[in-house]
Amino acid sequence: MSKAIAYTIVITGAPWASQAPQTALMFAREALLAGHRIDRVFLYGDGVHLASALSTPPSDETHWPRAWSEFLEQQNIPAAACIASALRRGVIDETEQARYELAASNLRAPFEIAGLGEWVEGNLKSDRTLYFHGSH
Amino acid sequence: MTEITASSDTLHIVNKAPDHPRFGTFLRALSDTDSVVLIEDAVLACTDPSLRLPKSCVALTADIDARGLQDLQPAPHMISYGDLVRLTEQHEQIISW
Repeated sequence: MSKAIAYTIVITGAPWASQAPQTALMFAREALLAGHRIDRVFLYGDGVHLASALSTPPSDETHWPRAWSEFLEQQNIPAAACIASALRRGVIDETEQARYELAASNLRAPFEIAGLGEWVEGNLKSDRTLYFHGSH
Repeated sequence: MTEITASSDTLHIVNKAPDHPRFGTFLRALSDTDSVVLIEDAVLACTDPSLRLPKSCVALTADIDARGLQDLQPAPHMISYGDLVRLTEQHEQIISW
């Protein structure tokens, strides 16, 4: 077998508005099956909608935020949403809720809110950084 | 936007439909030795021979099937998600368009 590769996965396309979360999840599952590692998943731009705990798609559609959080928890893969992208789009954790005195928080576990430092670290430490973009 | 010139042996993963401006940018950045994978709406490019994609170009089976293009003639070279993983093993330089 070829050498195991460490990936950072960056998702910039939103669920339902783009296929990015779906393609990225299929890719991530296959990468693990092939014996590779996923160091971290980073959500950027519209991709942060994947980390909303309030997304409620119709029951006959795939629930991408749930599918992703289950995958991340099962595989113990850290995942972060870019703080600047998340706050603009109303994806808020308890810390930011308190800081900005907001009515609610909605960040879905196990996602965390993080700065671009997480993404820089991915670029430095992983063998490959793979982007899954939206359609615009 | 700055034109990106890819060096040799780059893997291009394209998800934009052929009528998206970035599809043209991708075609202009393409070198002879590069590899190309069409995913998502980019697989629609398989229906347009005038695009003159490289012979080595492959398309993701799941996205071909999802768009009802499985009976195209000539049939595009199709790959699985597992094959896509193998292509990312083989290429250090990867551009997602």
